Amino acid sequence: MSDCGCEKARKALEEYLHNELCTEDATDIREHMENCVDCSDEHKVGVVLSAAVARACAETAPEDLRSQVMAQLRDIQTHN
Amino acid sequence: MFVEQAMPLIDSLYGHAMNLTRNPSDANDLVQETYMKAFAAFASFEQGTNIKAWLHRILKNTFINQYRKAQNRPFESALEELEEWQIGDAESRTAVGSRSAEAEAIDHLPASAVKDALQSIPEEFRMAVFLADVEGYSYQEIAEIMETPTGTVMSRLHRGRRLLREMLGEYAAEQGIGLTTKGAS
Ligand SMILES: [Zn+2]
Repeated sequence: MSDCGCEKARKALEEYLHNELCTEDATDIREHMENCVDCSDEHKVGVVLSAAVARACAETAPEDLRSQVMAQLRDIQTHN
Repeated sequence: MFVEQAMPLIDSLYGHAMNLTRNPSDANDLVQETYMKAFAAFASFEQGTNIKAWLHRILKNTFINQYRKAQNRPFESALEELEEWQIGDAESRTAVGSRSAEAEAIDHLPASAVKDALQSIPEEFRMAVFLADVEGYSYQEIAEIMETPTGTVMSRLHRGRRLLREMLGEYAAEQGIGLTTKGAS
């Protein structure tokens, strides 16, 4: 099997991480990473970074906001 | 009809609003305005197309028109000129050392540090990172929301994540977080 090489893998890692690659390209990257510690470690940093951002920024809308929006929508609908 | 489709997206819209305005009070106002505008324009929304992207686009445009105008800063900045793949693309050795130590460090950072870092990167980058990594939108959806070509989304995302990674690496090194795998023994 031909390996896609580090250069191609590095360029595609971010798209791989975000599920933007076609199946074929994604398979190439996955296979390369099985044999390349450098690239799989680089990928790990990317995964951890995404997870850290998601953890830090997940928000729940305050209940007040939810009911304010609902009240405003009801208000508009009854005045039309 | 509108309520059923739009209300389940309020957490996601509020998160986006927090990410843009950086404070709960402005985020509240922005979300409310977004819903009112979306309701008024709902007739023009093409059913069957992506309502998430549509609502996020309204939110972004409301932010640009109202909040950004007040700050008197144009949304599209000189940053566009810097948005070349080659800039910041060089392999930079981070402050933390090996990649596995870096991953471990980032994994152990307090959420507040990650939030601070994200809030300090340029807005266009921040928005792309937020939409991809927090909301899980595809590049195509982000392109629709930001109203830019997909290539621009990719470069913003790439540069934003690169900046974030550098800042978090520096922070971790300063705080001595995640150094256990380096030079132990
Ligand atoms: Zn490799």
